[in-house]
Parts: sequence; structure tokens; C-alpha cells
Amino acid sequence: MSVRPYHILFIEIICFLFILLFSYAAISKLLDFKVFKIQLGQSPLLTVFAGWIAWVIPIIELMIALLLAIPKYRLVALYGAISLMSLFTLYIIAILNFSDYVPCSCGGILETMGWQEHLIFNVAFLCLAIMGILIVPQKINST
Amino acid sequence: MKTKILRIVGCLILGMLPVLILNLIPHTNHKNESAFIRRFPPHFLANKNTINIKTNRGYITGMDSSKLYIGYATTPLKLSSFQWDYNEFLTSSFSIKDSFPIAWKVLKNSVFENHIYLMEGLTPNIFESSLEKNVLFRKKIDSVTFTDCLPLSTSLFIVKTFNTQRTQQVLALLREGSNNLHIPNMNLKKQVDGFFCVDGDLIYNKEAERIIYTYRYRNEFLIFDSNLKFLYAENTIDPNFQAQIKVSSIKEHGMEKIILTAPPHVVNKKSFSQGQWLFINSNIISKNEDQLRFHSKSVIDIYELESGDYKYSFYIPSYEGLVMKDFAFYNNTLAVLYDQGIIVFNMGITKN
Repeated sequence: MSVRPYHILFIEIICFLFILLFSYAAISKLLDFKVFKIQLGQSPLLTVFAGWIAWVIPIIELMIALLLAIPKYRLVALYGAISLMSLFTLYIIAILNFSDYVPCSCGGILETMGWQEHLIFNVAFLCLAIMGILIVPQKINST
Repeated sequence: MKTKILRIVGCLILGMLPVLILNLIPHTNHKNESAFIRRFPPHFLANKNTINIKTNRGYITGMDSSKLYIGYATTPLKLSSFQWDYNEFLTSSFSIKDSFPIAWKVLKNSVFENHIYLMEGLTPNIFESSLEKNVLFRKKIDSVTFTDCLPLSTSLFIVKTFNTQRTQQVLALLREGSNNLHIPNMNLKKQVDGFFCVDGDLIYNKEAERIIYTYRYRNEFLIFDSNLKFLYAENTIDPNFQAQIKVSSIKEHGMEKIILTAPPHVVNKKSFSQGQWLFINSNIISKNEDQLRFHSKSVIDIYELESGDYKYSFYIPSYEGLVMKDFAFYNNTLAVLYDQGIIVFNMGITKN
């Protein structure tokens, strides 16, 4: 695929949105860490692993946000973002099956979203990441 | 391009893998909890009457020989009655005489002996009116906050309240106009934190004059007489003797708050008692039941109130794909509330 100027802008916007999303989500989790850990424990799927998942998720989010900011690692970070977003998305679908108990632990204003809204939000971000990867040039030397 | 798409698909799968694995790992470690058997008599329920009516956030607040009463969590001043013999569904509105601070969101509605009660224990407030009149009057109770309230008459109530001396929730007798609570020594038994671990259903059987308390997280119910004198405790058929809950305290808006930190293991979902029977909707599957069928229906275990003995069980079927929300019975008539309607059944319940 040939790289057009607006592709570069598009990639910049996608990366910016992801950096914003991940760093916001991670920091709001870490700021209220005890609550976040408790919320994870309340989830029927995560009860047993809440202790270390509570650390791993924000760290991965921050790492991906950091890599997205470095042009050299942008492609790798976008792949990482896809993995993470698909993990969150499938988790939402899985948790919806436990309809009697669905606590959210996304942190900050993201918590105010309903699960269905959340699903749409996640799928939209997934699509953004996929589009970003498809138009990013294989080797970035010029940005 | 091709490698990119392959990598994207790879990443999608990589992300999904942990969730799939989490789904396969058993979420609970309740070993041997199905080491008991239920008895199911054949043809226990016969469909009598069905009405398609959406009762959004409705719950059963009372039942007598001819009517079922339904209250609504979102509109506490509304009360519906369903007279099944005539298929008549009516909704009426109530108003409260004078204005008071009210915690509207936790107002609970209860219909008992032709009176309606609206209760909330945060402020606290108890309002009462006869069903013929549509104006509720506030009862003079100010001495105690409570988490549950059960009217025994227009001036006598059983409340579940947090007792600081015993650091747990207790049942207490509250008389209108009196500042003293009567808290019997034989009371709820603390197992973990004293708040969540003693959670349960507080119900009254008018015919037998018995107060029944069914624990939510353990296999036990307690029977008291109408003066709240403890009579006996009995175990339900499953082996969950210990409440399996985890709690922790966090600070929220500067206030210490105790919350559940893991999904609690619910044993008894809901109970109801009338005449000589106690019905308990259990959440625990027995050895002789099918997993899939168990979750598409609601199992009710029948206990004899006088002795606490288990008689047998039956299933309440689902309706339009949804399991029941609430149930009540009067003699041989069982009324079941669903999201999409109400079904009234005849029960083949035998006297002895």
C-alpha cells in the first residue's frame, strides 16, 4: 500500500487516541488501586487471580502507551493494543453471561458506561487499531 | 499486507486466549456441596392462569386467598394487585401525608392483612395505610436505623439492625412510640463479618404465628414465635454450613465502608412461608439433578414449618426463556412473577 500524507495524520490520531485511552485507564486504576483490586476480586471470572492481575493490566497499558509514543515501536505497540483490546472485549462478552453479577473495573469515567456501550466502545477501538496497522508503512524511517 | 493480516488475526487470538482459559477454569471450589439428594414428586404443578404483563423491577409484596400484590422498586408509591380468578390486574397509586426526608431508592413495600407498608431503614421511615385508603401515614419510630423490616401489626415490627455491642446485625422487636428495642439473646449468629454473613430473608407466617429467618449464605433457617422468642434452627438439605464470603473495608468519601470482595456463594435465594409450609428457593444443585436443567428453572425445597423437616422439591419453570423473579403461595395456589408476566399454578401439595 502506498503511503499518502493523510495516512500519516490518521496514524498519528489513532496513536494519540490509544495513548490517551491506555494512560488514562492505567493511571485511574493505579490512583485508586485498592478499590480496583477489590473490584477485580468481585468479578466471578477473576476472583482467584485478582492480586496479580491488578498489577499486570495497568503496567501493560502503560507500556503500550509508551511504545506508541516512540515511532520506531509504533507497529509493535499497535499489535499489542489489538491483543489487549480483544482481551477486554471478549472479557466483556464472557462477563455478560454472568448476568447476576457484573462489576466493572475500567477506572475513571469509563466505569460509567454500561456493558453494551462498553462493547461498542471496545470494538470501535479495535477497528481503529486494525486500520492503523493496515496503513502504517512497514518500515518507518521518515516520521 | 498478507503478513499484517495474519499478525492481526494472531493478536486477536492472543488476546482472547486468556479469557477462554479463565472460562474453562472452575470459578468456585465448592467441593462435595452436591452430596445430597432432592426428591421430586411427579405432576406437582398444574398451570392455572397466565397473564402477560411486564412488571419492570416488580416484586411480590404480599398474597392472600384471592390476590397477589406487586410493588415496584422504581415507583414505590405504586401497587398492583392481580386477582387470578377474574384475571384482573389493577394498579393504584398512594401518597404520603405530609413531607418527610425519605430514602426513596431503598423503600420496600409490603402488603400484610389489608394494609400497605412502605419502609426504609436509612432515615428511618415506616409508612402505613389501609388498602382502602390511599394515603400513607408515618409511624413514630425514630430510635433505630435498620436494613430490613417486617410488619407484624400496624404498631409492631421486626427489624434487622446493626448492633454495635455485638458488632453484628440482629433481629429486634420494635413497637411504635417506644424508644426501646427488644433484642433477644438467641439471635442471628455471626460467622464472618457480622454484616454480610448474617444476610438473609426475614418473613412472617401469619397462620402459624412464626417469624422465619433464612440465611442467604449458609444452609440454615431460624424459627421464632411472634414475640421473637427463638424456637429452633434447622439446616437446609445442602451441606453449606459456613458462609463463604470475603469482605474488606475501604474508605469512600472519608467513610469506612465494608464491602464484599469476592462474589458471595449464595445458598438460599428466596424463601416464603404460609400455613404449615416453608418454601426455599435454593441455589445449590443436588447429586441427582442435571446442570443444564437446573439453571433453566428454579428449584423450590419444601420444609415442614413445625418440625423443620424436608418434604420434597419441585421446579418452577421458566417463562419466555427467563427464570422466575419472585414467588409466593397461599394454600394450594402458587403465584410466580416473571419479567414478562405472572403465572398462577395449582400445587399438588399433600397435607401430611
